[in-house]
Amino acid sequence: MIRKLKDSWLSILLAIVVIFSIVLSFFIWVAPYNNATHNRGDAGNVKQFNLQSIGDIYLPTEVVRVKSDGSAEMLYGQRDNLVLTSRNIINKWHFGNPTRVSHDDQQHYLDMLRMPKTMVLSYYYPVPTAVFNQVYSQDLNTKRMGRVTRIVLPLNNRNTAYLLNDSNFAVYRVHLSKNQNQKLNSLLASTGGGQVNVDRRVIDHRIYSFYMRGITLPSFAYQVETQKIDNVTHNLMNDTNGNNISTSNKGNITVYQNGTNKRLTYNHETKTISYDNYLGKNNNLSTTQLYNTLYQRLTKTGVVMDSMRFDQFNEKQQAITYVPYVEGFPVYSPDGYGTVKISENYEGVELYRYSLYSLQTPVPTNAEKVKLPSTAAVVNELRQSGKYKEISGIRVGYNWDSQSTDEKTVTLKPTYFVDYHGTWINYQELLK
Amino acid sequence: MNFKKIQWIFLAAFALLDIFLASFVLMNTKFVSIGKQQSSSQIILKEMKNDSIITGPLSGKNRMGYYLSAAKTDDNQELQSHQDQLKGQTPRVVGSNFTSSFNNPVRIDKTKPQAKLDQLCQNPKWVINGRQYTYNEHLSTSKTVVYTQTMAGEPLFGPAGLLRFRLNDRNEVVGYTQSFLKPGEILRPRQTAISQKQAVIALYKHNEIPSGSTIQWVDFGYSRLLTYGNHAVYIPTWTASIKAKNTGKKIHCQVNAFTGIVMKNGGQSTSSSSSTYNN
Repeated sequence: MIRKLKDSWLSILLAIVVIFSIVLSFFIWVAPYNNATHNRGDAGNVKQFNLQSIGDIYLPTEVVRVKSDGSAEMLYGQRDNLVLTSRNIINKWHFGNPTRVSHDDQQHYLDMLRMPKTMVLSYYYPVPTAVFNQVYSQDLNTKRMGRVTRIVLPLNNRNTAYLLNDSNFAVYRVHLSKNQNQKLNSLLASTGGGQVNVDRRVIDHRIYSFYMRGITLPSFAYQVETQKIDNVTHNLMNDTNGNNISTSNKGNITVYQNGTNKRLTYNHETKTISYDNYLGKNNNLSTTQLYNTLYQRLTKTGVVMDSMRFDQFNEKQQAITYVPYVEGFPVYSPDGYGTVKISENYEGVELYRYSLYSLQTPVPTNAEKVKLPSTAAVVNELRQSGKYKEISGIRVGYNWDSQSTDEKTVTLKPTYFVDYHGTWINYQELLK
Repeated sequence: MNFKKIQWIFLAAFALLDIFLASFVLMNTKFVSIGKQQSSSQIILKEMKNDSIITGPLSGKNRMGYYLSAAKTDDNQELQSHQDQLKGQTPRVVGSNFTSSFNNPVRIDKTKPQAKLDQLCQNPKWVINGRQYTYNEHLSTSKTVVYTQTMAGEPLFGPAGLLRFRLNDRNEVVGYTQSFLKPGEILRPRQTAISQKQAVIALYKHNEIPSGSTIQWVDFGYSRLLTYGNHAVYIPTWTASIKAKNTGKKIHCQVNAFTGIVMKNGGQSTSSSSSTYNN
């Protein structure tokens, strides 16, 4: 028996190698959307150059400096653009592979956010480590650490950084090399902008940022760009088969259809779009692939990308919400203006929800600064109204109130927003 | 050729195939960005070369810029109200221009006009707010030495903020014309702007660079994007000087450095009088 094996070892080896190649070929054929998704070129795109690369859309949005006494200040509006400039500094550093230090220890997690002489960059919602690698030009092992919510960087001469994940209160330690902490220090010392004391608390397994003494913020004005609906249908619905797009009108709604796969519903009055694209295959995109793919979809929507940032990821719906940000704060609108929500679910259906309005050019405004109450005061008001139990998040943002849009300009005013059943609404609306 | 040899050949071939396939599968687990834009710019630069377009070395480094607000138009009032501080010259307003003639011409070195003129600008007795202007070699001509007002550390590329020194036949400065733009505020934190190379590509794609022409210079600065009420919004721009091959005529083209859109001078007004775009 063994002699037979010995004689035919070459045939066996050959069989193994052939089977291997069949299996690998199968993987490649079945695996969906790999690296460079075929760019259909710049057909119908308004902008010449997309300066908002994937590494810009997925930048963190909050900058906090922790002083030597452990007190934390959130920084916003610095003319040097702390998030962008710190990225340009950190890109040149080398992050060693992460080692997990703790998990599910809330107190230790909060202590990390109060570590003296550090700079903390945070996302509102975590991003996959592969996305972090893309943003900061690093090469962290994605198997060791799945997601990143916060980045704790040293401002003294330590060579250690920490990467945090809010989902399971996990803390990872990372060794730094080629770092120049002094550059971060100088950046934080740059003038202008505001700072406000912030205290992190855990409520119901979530981290909240509490502004203990309230926060005074300027109002911002923008020229609004209104995309043409034809531009959108051309970008999203044209296919290589040259099929025609049929339209049907009913009151304020126009439905565009291309074959049986693509359908776009446009509301003339609110200028909002709802687009469904049935891709015809089951999708099993990994979270990382989803972040990549949905960014590609975002670039095809025709919205002005300059202020857009990643805001939230909904695992169940396989959806990402992108939202305009101004000076570190998200912009929300009761009519959904500015927000782009794209999903690609397991049944292979792509969904886009957004409006034709985009924030385009900032313009000067005489609008007054707004003094917002402390977060605790807002929470109390919500408790008293009985609505507090239905809220799963609270943050400061800017309100794009449709009433102030004369279709050309809009003034954004700061307020507290609450996550009410999955939608961010102005807390004052909730109290009515 | 016996069977065994065939088997060896197949083994080698499939082993190679496996290595290739395995590396392909492994690469797909990494998060790869689109490098497509880079290679397309190489293609366009090649096309330009084939079109006999001459250009100096172009930087591919992205710049940073701000959205700025400033006054809507030049402020002659500011200059007029300070004109008493000027000595050794006769200032006056001609139409919408603030101009001054020196009592005695000032000798300068033609090859290095800024050596003397920088001194004049620093002296409030010679030029009002002169410190806010810097020498602009590219905009200067044989008869005019041009200084441009500085905005966020970069030169202003029109329409306002120019200080033009007039030269006579003996290459002496006899006076100047000045427009002053009241600076406003920075509207938003710094953002990324396109590189010099991308600006030239944008101009070429928009057919602004005819065949055989020479791109003499491409400068970064600030220009007006639109007016809004009593203000104007300024953005970073790349301004290029393009010299036509046959006529030798030079034209200036501007590109919005935030979007890469080519800006046309002589803006078009929208139906509402609230804002006017320059592109």
